[in-house]
Amino acid sequence: MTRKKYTTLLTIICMVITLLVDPARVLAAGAELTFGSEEYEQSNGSEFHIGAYITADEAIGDYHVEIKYDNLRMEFVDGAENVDQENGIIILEGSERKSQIKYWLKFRAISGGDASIEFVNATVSDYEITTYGNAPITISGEDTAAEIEAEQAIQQEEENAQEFDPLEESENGTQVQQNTQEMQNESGQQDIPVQDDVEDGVIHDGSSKGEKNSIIFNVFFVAMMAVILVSIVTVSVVWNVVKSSQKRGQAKKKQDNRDNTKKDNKYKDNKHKDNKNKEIKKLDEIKKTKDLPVEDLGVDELNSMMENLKTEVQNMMYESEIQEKRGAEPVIQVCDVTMEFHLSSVNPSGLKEYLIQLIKREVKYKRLFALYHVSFNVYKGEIVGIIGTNGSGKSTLLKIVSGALKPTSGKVKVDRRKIQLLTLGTGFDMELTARENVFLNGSIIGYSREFLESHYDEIVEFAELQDFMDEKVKNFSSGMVSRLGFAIATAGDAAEILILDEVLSVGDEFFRKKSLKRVKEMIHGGSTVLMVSHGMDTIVDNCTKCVWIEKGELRMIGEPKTVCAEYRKMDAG
Amino acid sequence: MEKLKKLIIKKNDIKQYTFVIKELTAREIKRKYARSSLGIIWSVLNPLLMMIVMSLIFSTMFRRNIENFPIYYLTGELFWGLFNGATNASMTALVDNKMLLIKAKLPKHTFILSRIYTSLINFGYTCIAYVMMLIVFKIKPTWAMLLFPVDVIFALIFFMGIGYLLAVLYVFFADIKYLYSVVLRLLMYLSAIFYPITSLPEAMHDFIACNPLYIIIAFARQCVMEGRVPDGDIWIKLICWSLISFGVGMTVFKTKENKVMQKI
Repeated sequence: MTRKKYTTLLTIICMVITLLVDPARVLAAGAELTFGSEEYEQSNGSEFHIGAYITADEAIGDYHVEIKYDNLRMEFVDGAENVDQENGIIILEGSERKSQIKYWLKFRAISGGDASIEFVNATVSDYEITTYGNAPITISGEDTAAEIEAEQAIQQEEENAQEFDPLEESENGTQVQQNTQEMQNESGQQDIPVQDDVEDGVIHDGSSKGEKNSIIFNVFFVAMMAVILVSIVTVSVVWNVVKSSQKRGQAKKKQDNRDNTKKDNKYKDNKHKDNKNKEIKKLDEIKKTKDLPVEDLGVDELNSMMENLKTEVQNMMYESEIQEKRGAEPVIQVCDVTMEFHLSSVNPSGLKEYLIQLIKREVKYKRLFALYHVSFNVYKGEIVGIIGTNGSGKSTLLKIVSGALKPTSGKVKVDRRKIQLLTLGTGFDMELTARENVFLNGSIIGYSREFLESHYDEIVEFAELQDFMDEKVKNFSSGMVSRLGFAIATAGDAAEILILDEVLSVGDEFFRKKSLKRVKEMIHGGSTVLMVSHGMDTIVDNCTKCVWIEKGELRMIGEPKTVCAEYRKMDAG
Repeated sequence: MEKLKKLIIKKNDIKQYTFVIKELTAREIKRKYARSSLGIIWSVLNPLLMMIVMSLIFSTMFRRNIENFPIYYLTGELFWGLFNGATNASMTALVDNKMLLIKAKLPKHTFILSRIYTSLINFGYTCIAYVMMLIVFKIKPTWAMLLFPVDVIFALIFFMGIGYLLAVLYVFFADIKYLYSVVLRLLMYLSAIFYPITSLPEAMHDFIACNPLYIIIAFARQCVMEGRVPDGDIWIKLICWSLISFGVGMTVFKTKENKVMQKI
């Protein structure tokens, strides 16, 4: 797994947690559980109906509701499927789109006295249940149930004698409490408020308060989980960091030292370069100063230093020669440009590793210098070829010059208005016709509508695509596409500075000649050209100056022939 | 003279700028309807059909609460469509135009602006359907309706900010595309597009009232359906949201611009 994947994973986890926490807070609407009337009066032995209602603010959805009735004084007959006769519990459950559900429950009175029916335990989707209805039922006739009740009560009281905690009572306990209460109330009338209190005390999980609590609990639970997770991860990460920091720290120090010395060397060289400031007279002096510390240096270092110096001197001599010849301000001034890319260096092997690397920021990236303190000048009318092996920073240099990229340090002085960049990937939209692409691409390159309209025919003619302009570009061959791209980029005399990235080596023989001719025309008209090519012949034949960049560093500037010869030598060596 | 020269250059720049946006927009629209025979008419037809479907489904559900459910829905859908289109399109604007970005000398956010402009044009066509429906349902024209474009302008500023942010994020973190679709879905259900806000519990009202999309839609409903100048707090929220979003989006875009170019 790469680090990118881990970033993704972490983000998704974060999203899921927020989504989990949110609905709990969001969906808490109200639901009510009620009976048809507030109280019922029946005679012993009769059959009667009680309506049970579940009402919610919106559609109910999934629900599970338990109704508790006095099973000693009444018998359930009909109206619900799931009934626990022994404990006197009726369970209503299901799923409904309506906002109210009615159950028509049929009972038979089997003993006189005061019975009751109430909702005890309920969940209705995510609703908060605001009302738990209850109703007393007065049944006239002999109270045969009272004796049994008393017996049961005594039995269970004995059972529970040792540990009696109303909060942890089971259903049976509820019964006991109610029953004992009833026995105390000799008048036979139920004291409803008192019972309510008991209810609140006993049924703590399912009551309306409980519902609120459970939502809070849910949120709390998720938060706790997150905290625990984070703390575990942090602890393990910190542990690993501490453990590995010593080893890695040492290794890193060494590496840093090495890097620093290397950088320092280069920096010194560059400073020297600045100091010399293109004046050859000073060169001898510098040579002398450089000669001084010879005794302190190793042979290798001395050699490399001398070599550097040699190329520098050559480059500078060449530049100053050119300057003398042209005698003008350079059109493009590349001053000490450094371009640094950050590449993720290590692919973490696990989430833990990834987090460690995230915390220890120093191991996060490998620094790659695409360009390292590169300086050169381009004068008006020059055709500068840039050579170098693949990945040595040529295209990056062109992008910096054209202004698409900003260098990490250093400066490029150039009038960006005058630049025309032509690369192989043309940026054509494959779905559009060639005609549409001419306008789209032209507008982005910087041509006005009037200019494009007046030069349209010219472009088509040059690209030799007269019969294909209303075809979609996706049907074009790659040669046709690059022909069109070249034709658009070189249309008219708009470009004072033309930057060509590997374009002169594509297309067929004839078109190549034709485009070369066009480029030469433009040069004749005062254009300055900066081109990248792997074709040495193209460079030698066309360029007046050649810049060799190798692994981000400037190797050589000079006559194309000499530079190319050196370049070939490197290949051979 | 120098100043005059600069002014001319600036004028040319702006002219070029609009030309580029026009060309890019033309491309987007051509691409979008490249294979359909009705073409841009779908921009009119699609919301109308959606309105019919949604009205069939929901008007019985919320009959008591909403009068003119089709208009109520269409107003919401109008802005939702604009938001959806604009942000989704601008998210991929930088990556899709990789090659052009390297060539372009114009500010890089031109590409995002062109995507938003494309959505705006689509929105314009949808508005034809909207006006038709307003006539069919006999909504009386009022002076307050003139505030509708104001709403659109603030909405666009808000969407621009989001667009900049998403475009930059997408360069570094392509998975944002899938994540964003989830967020969009959530946002849609929280925007009271096809249900009345009163059908939600009280606690939700304040929450939804802060949703920028709901604010934009509520503004439009108040000035078009109710024919009155929207409430003060809606104005304040609308302006705040759009300025914050634009400020954040722009800052992120400016600071990350160079990194984006490196990454691309």
